[in-house]
Amino acid sequence: MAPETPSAPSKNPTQPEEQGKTRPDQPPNLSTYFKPLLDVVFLFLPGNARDIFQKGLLKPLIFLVFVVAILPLLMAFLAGFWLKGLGNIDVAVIKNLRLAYLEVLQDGFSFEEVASRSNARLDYFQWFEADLQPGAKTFKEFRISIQPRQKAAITYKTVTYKADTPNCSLPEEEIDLISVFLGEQLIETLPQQTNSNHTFEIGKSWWARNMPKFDSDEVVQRLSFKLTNEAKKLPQCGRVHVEGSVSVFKDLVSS
Amino acid sequence: MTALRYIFACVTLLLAGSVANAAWWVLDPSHSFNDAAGKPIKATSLTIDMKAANLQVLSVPFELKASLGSAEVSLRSFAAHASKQPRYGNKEWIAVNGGFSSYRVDVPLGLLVVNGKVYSPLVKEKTRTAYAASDSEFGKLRWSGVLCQFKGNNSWDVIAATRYQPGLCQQALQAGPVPVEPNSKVGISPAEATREKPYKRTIICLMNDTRMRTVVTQETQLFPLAQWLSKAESGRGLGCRVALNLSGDSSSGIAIRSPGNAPINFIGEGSFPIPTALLFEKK
Repeated sequence: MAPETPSAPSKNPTQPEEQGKTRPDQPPNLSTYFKPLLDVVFLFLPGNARDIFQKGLLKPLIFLVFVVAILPLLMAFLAGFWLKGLGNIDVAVIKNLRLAYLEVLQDGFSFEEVASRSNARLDYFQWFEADLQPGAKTFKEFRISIQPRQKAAITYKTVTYKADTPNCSLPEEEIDLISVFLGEQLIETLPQQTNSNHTFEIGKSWWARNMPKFDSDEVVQRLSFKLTNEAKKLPQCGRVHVEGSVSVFKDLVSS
Repeated sequence: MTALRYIFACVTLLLAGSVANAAWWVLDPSHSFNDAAGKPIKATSLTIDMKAANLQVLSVPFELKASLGSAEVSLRSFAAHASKQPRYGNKEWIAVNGGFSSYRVDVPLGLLVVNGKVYSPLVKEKTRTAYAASDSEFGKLRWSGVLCQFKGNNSWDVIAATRYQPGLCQQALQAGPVPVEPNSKVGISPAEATREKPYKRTIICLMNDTRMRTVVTQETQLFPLAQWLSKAESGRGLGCRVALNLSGDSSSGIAIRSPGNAPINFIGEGSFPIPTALLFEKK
C-alpha cells in the first residue's frame, strides 16, 4: 500500500490542507505556485512531521515554540532593556524600585552562589610586598579601592622575619609580626607564615559585622601593614617581609 | 741515579697526597639504583669522615658580603668566588648546595643557624602531601627535618622539625622531606613514586659511624631513592642511618676544591641561585 501524501486525493473535505486550495474560477495565488514545492518537501519529511501537517497541528506547534523558546528570551530582553533604561533615571522612587526588583532576581536566581564558584567576576587583582624593620620602617601602606559592601579577599603568601646582616641573631619566640589595617580598621594580626596562602575574606558576614565602622559613602582606599608592638621590640638588624595579594570582586553584598 | 731518586720521591709524595685526601673524603660516581619502573638512576656519593673534617652551614649572601635579597649566586659561582678568598684560598674544601629559597632566591626558607646566630627562624608549614607514614614525627611538617650540630657535644644529626627547640643547635639547616628516618627507616610512602614528578636531588646522609655522605642523583622520585639510601652497604645500598633532602633540580651540586691551582671539580648542575651552602673542610 502506497504511503499517504498531502497531494493524494482526499476523502475528507474538512481536512485543513484542503481549505487552502483555490477554486478553478479564482486566479492563481502564491500558494498555488508553492504547493508543488511543499509536496516535494513533504515527501522527505519524517512520519511525525507529516502527521503534524496532515492533522492541522502546525499552528499550535508554532504557538508552543513561541511560548516555550521565544517568549522567555523576549521577556528577559525587555526586562534588561527597561532596567537599563531605568538605571539612567535619577529619581529616588524609580531607583529604589529598580534596586528592589534586582535584589529579587539576584536572590531568586542565586547569582551570588553561581558567581562565587568562579572568579569570572574579579574586578581587579593587586600584588603587595613590603619589608618592615623594627626601629626604622614599621609601617607600609598600599593604595586600593574597595566600595563599602564590595566583596574582597586578602591572601598572604609570606610573612617572615629574617636577619639582615651577618652579625644579627634573631629571637626564636613565636610572636605576631604584623597588624593589617583596612582603612583605619585593624582587621587581623599575623605571625610568621610561609606558603600558607592564608586568606582573609571580606564578604557578606564580614561587612555585616563591620559596616558600622566604615562610612557607607566612602571608598576604602588604604591597605596597610604595621609591625605589632611585640615586633617593634625585635632586633633592628632583622626585617619582616610580607607579601601577598588583594582580590577585589565586582559583587556588592546585600545587607 | 739522582734523577731516579727524585722521581721516586715525587711519586711517593703524590701518593701520600692521595692517601691524605682519601683519609677525609671519597668520591664515588658509580652508584646506580632502579626507579619504580625499573629504570636505572645514576648517583654520585661523596663520603666524608667527620673525625677528620669540619662542616659549616653558610649563608651564601652573607658569605659574599651582600645584603639579603640582592645576591643571585649559584653553587658554581659561589665556589668560584670562595676559591679566590684568602679564607678558603689554597685549602681543600667541598661545597654542597644547601636548603630551599624563600621569597627571594638568596633568602633561606626555614631554620638557618650559622655559628650560633639565628638568621632565619623555624618554619612550621603543615605538610600538604603525605610523604611519610601518618604516625611519623617527620610527616607533620612540609620542611620536616633539621640538620643540626648540637651545642655542647658538636655532634651532627637530622632531627624532626617538630622536635626542634630554640637554642638547641650551634649550626642548623631546615629542609625536607626526610627520605630516611632514624634507624634507616624509609620515610617516604610508596605512593609518592607514582604521584610525584622526578627531580635531580641532593641528599645529606648520616651513617651509623662517623661518616657523612652527600649524594647527587639524576632525576628521581623520593621513594626509590629512600629505599636505596636506607639499604645496608652490604646489600648494595648506601647505608644511611638518617638522610635529609636538600634543595634539588638545577641548584643541586657538589663543588670540590683541591689544594693549589687545580680547577674546581663540579658534580651535578649547580647553576640555580642558592641561599645556603654546606662547606666541608679538613680539620
